[in-house]
Amino acid sequence: MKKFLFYFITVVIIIFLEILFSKFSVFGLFFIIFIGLYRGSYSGCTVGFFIGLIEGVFFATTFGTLSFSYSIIGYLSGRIPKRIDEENPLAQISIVFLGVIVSQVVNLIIEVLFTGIPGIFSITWLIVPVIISPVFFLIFKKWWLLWFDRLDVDR
Amino acid sequence: MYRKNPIVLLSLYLVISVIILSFNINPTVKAMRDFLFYMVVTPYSKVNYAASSVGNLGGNIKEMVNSHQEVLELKNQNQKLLHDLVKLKTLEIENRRLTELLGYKRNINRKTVIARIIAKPPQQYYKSLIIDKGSEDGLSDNRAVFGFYKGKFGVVGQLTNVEKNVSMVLTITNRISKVPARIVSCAVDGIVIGKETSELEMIWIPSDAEIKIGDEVVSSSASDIFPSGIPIGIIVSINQTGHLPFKKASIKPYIPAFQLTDVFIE
Repeated sequence: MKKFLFYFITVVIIIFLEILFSKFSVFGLFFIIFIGLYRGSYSGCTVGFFIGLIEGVFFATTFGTLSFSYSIIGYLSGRIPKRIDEENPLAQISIVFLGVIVSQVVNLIIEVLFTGIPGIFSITWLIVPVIISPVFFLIFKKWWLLWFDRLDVDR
Repeated sequence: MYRKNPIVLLSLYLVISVIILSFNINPTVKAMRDFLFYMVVTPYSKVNYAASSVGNLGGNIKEMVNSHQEVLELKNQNQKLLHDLVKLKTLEIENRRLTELLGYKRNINRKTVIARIIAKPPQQYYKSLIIDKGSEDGLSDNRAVFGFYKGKFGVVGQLTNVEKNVSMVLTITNRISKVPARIVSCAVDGIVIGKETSELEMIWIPSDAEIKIGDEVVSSSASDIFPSGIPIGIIVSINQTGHLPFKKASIKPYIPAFQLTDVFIE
């Protein structure tokens, strides 16, 4: 129940922040990668699916695209080998960067498949958020520890 | 099962996503999106507006103070301009009057003196005026005084009590004033006397004289003071004086002395 409340409040805050800072609506994606990385594929793809659904309502051109891609991102984040140190900022930046690329590519493919309209592949606007993603990870971690005693890496 | 095999869970999510994509529920989602944006963005925009208003408070106060100062300055300026306007209007009236006087003076005797009325005591309205010229300006008692009003030239009175720099004008409306006069239309002479009202009275008009209301009355040659033919006024009423062979007429003077600012002295 507590976990459900945590996810619910976090998702609400993320959606609200994404609306406020709509130019940098990547908080959701970062949170999915964070959860996948620290809590495993199960949590990652579940959180990804629901955040994707909610973000789809607010931002997606085609409803269902983001739930599809974010589920994959959440799952893949949880499948990253254990030998990669998730506390290393460089590793975080790299994982987030890859996650962004995968997300963009999957979105493009889905858009083309289901609407026939090719989207625009653009990641330049994501460079700055990706570089400062360790800061977001730190915030997410603190936020998690505010609710729970431990943040077990479950991969 | 899902915890052990997250790939199954992922597959489930992907299938659901594909089903959602297949149904193409974008129009419904768009309506929901609009509603949600309205719910989220409207309060935020209000909060943002309030926050920015508070942020601008200092600037607004400064702007208000500046505006207030500007308003005060403009008010002062406006006051000054109004003052100047009144001054200009007064000067314009003065200029018009002087132009009229100048235009008139070209046609009258060169020895005529123009004097300014400096006092019109309220209780003396129909009795006398004080002018700013006296014996130093060559004036003496019993000189004829004329006035110019609304384009009309006429008798005002005669000088009495001439002092060094000021003189008194005995107006023709004074009870003691008696001016020999003539009714132009029938060349009948009489005497115009003052009543200390806005009207004069002409007496000693032969009862069979053919006079009528509106006839012009001028000074006659019988006067030692006034040159003949200077307009005095017009007849406004005629009265028969009992059984005497004379009648009298009420005359409205052309020149209301108490409305003049300058007079001419010959």
